[in-house]
Amino acid sequence: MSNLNQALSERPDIQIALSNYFLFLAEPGYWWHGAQKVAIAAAARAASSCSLCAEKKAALSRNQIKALHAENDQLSPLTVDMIHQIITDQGRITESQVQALEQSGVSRLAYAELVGIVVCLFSIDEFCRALSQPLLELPQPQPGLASQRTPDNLETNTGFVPMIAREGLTEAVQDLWPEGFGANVIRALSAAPDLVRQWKQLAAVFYLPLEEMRNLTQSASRRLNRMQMELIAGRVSAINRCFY
Amino acid sequence: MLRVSAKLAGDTVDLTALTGASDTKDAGVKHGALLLAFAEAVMSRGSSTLTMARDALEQASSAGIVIEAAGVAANFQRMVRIADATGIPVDDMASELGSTIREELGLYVFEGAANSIPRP
Repeated sequence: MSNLNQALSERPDIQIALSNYFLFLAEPGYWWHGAQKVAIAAAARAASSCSLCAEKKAALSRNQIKALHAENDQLSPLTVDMIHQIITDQGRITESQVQALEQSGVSRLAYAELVGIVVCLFSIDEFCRALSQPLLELPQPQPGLASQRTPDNLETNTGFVPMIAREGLTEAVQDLWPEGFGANVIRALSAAPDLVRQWKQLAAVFYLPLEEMRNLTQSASRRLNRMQMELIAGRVSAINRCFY
Repeated sequence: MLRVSAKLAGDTVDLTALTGASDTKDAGVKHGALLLAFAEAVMSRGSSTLTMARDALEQASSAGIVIEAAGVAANFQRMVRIADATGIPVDDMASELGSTIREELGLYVFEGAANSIPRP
């Protein structure tokens, strides 16, 4: 066993979080059923090697490239196009695109859930790629209908999607963020609370648990100190042209 | 976060390393040059570049550090996409420290700035 595989085996928390995500992915969600969720993940996985995305990314305006991605039996071309853009050209996503998606039948609530599915899968895949590990096989979807449940206290005055008000956590979702910790990036996916739970679980093993983020020196559970972590975080964010 | 964590550790960090413009290769952080090279290699998607950067980091530190570094990179590949795909603004644009850093690093040219600064 290589040193990396040995070190990975000493982090069962990572293996558990990844396995949990794939179990979650297979189940019916809020606005997408299991087969659609897996199809969203498959589209996200395909985006990195998509030649149309490369063409759109290189264009001064994406609208110069009129071609659409091919539809599949679960997702419309517009939906696939958005999934791919979240991976390959996220900085140029505009509210008018989200509006167009809404007019095509994907509500903003469904879009929030879709974003969560895409970004969690991408994060896991990036971890595997960074270590030259094989990508984990996508799960077989579980039967069942989307629940169409929405949490209480959604507001629509921040960003492109509805999200739970900073002080609006009810008992059913009180685990989403600690009191006084409702930064926009945590609230962004809260219309689909399970996606916040999934990203928190991934963040806890890849980076730090939410509760430890205020410790800006050295986490007892990490070898990297906080400066080293933030150096990597900052460089990845800068290359991604992240303003947030 | 980087500047604050450095201050708490009693260190001085070169923030321009984040945009690839640093004169000090390690940015004032232990293994900084190797960590930056690894982060850039992850983003580059070049397999030989990635292998070299990963091996160099492992030799200078440990396999456990490499796992953690991969995790942090993967984590922030997710965060930027949440922010940009949902159009969220920066939580506190009025913060003087945040404003100074954004200015220093030239972040206002990034497309996502429009979500925090309304277009005229």
